[in-house]
Amino acid sequence: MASFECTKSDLQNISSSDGKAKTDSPSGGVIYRARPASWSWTSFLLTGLVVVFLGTFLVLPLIVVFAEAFRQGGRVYLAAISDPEALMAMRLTLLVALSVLVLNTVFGLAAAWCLGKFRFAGRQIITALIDLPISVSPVVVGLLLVLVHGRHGWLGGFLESHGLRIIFATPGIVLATAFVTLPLVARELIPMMEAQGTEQEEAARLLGANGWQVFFYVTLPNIRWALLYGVVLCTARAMGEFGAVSVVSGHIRGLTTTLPLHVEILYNEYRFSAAFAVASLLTLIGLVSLVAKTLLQRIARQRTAPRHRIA
Amino acid sequence: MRIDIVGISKTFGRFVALDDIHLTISQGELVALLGPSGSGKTTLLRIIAGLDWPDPGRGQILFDGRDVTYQPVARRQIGFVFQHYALFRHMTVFENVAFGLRMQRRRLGLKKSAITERVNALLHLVQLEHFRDRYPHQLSGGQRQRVALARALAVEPQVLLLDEPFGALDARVRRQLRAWLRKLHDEIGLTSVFVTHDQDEALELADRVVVMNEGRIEQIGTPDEVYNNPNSPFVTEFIGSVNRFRGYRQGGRILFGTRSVIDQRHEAVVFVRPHEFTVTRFACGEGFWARIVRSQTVGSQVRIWLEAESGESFIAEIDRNQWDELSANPGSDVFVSPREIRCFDLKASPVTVHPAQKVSA
Repeated sequence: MASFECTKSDLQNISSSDGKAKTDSPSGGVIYRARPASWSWTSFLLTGLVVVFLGTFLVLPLIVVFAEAFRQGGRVYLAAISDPEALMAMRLTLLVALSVLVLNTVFGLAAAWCLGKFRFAGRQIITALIDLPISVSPVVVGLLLVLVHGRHGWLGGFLESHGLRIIFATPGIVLATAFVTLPLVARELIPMMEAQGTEQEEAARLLGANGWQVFFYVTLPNIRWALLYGVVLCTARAMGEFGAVSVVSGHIRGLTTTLPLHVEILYNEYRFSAAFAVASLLTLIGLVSLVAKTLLQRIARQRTAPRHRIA
Repeated sequence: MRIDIVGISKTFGRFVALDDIHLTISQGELVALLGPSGSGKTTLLRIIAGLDWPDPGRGQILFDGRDVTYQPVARRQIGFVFQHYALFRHMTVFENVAFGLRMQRRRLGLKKSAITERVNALLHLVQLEHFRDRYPHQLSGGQRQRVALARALAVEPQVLLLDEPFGALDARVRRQLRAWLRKLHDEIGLTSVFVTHDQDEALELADRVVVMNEGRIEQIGTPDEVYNNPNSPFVTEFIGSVNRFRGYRQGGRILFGTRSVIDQRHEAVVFVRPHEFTVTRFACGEGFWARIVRSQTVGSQVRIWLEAESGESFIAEIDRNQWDELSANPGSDVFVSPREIRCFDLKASPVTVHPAQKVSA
């Protein structure tokens, strides 16, 4: 890497400035390495700071979650996560995550196709709107849903007269989660679709493919890794969503509590081991999706690399 | 298939990409659309393909007299080679070539074995049998280009359209592929149109050259016609290297290369190609004096940079043995007489000049 290369004179300048002249180049030759010319005390200090910071804010809490979960032994842990209410919460969380996954994948694909492959008036506005859920507090999102779909909301009367229940029920939780995670798939795909242009699609159409064939044989294979990455991100986020869900769920035990809400209930009842046991499940989901994300990103980059050389 | 382009206009916002284009391409012809970038040649090609449309109500595309202006791309049966090939990256060479046949399998009533057979035949044609399981990124530029051609030919199109087909290749591969494409075109009997900004390519490959500029057709003709009888200053300057002089019309004569301005009202533009000069040490016939600035030997030719009495710089090319006989150096004054000139008055219409009256000093 050219940016890290340093010439002999540079090296000597740096070495002599901190009084450790030439200790880094015992043979007297020129060193080409991707690391600082010498490990001065500033490098140690800065590296140390990062390590301490990461340790305090990331590693330590992670250890604590699992330590607390197993504090009263494996039996309590197992009891906590096999408790009927916990199982119901798991079921609901999976159901919500699955529904959101389907909704946002379809939406993300449609939005990215539309915004990434076509130029039209208002495109910028829609692109900005897609990011809205990220900048709005989830609690506000929950409140908005209650205002629209609640008993006294705009659609409340209509929904009630048709026997439909959204707020304090699963549909509300799905809606809230879907809203909060709306941009995640689309945002992964739009830049990719833009970068790939439309030539391959045009080539496919010239060869006689219809719209669906173009999509399934040409567009989708080209974005599959980015799509999978977005889906993992979206699912992980959906399982952990708290704020918006908390407002619309009504906390009906065994009915409208998702895993994060269940953790909160347990914690408020001073059942710390149980709370941490369930929390450790959520943490585990997070860690697994992190690994999956990293792997997918690597694959996507490898698959993308030769692509740019083809032009 | 015969292609008629009837009065096509196309605008992008305020930019006029094509302005009332009329062109007929006969069955079996190989036509080059030649022009600088932004001249509308690619837009015209895309409209023929059906990837773009003329402005509503402003023009038609006819295939064998049938109006196809708004016919969907998929049904036009056109072979199209993109500038950057647009190969499907996630498919092997075989799958790329088979794509069109697979998409239209039901309509064409093809069996799988028939597809395999035809794709293999095409890969043989483009000499890529051994690369059938490679992915596009494992191929060289020339190989990708041939895959793109095979893919376009797979659906047995009547028309082959190529957008800057050799633009991304190095000079040697480019020459090979040109000859190969010409042969292929003649063998299959296609009607082909290709877009290029490279005049050598157009002159070498095409039956007819369509020179385009700023959305209009400047000239249509055989390579010989556009090279030898360009009809405008633009075409003259665009095709082949050429020297440009300020000239003055006086009676039936054209004066240029001289210092004395005779008549401002009869100003004209005079073009002389570098190889159309005769260079001597003594005044003989029609011509003018110029001073040698520098010279360079290029193979069997010598290129001479000169400055005319009028102060205009120009280039002459003569044979090496003529240059040796001349025994001139930079700084020497020589007499140059053009054997051929092309002259346009400022309204850009050609001026007829009798050979005997063509030059003065």
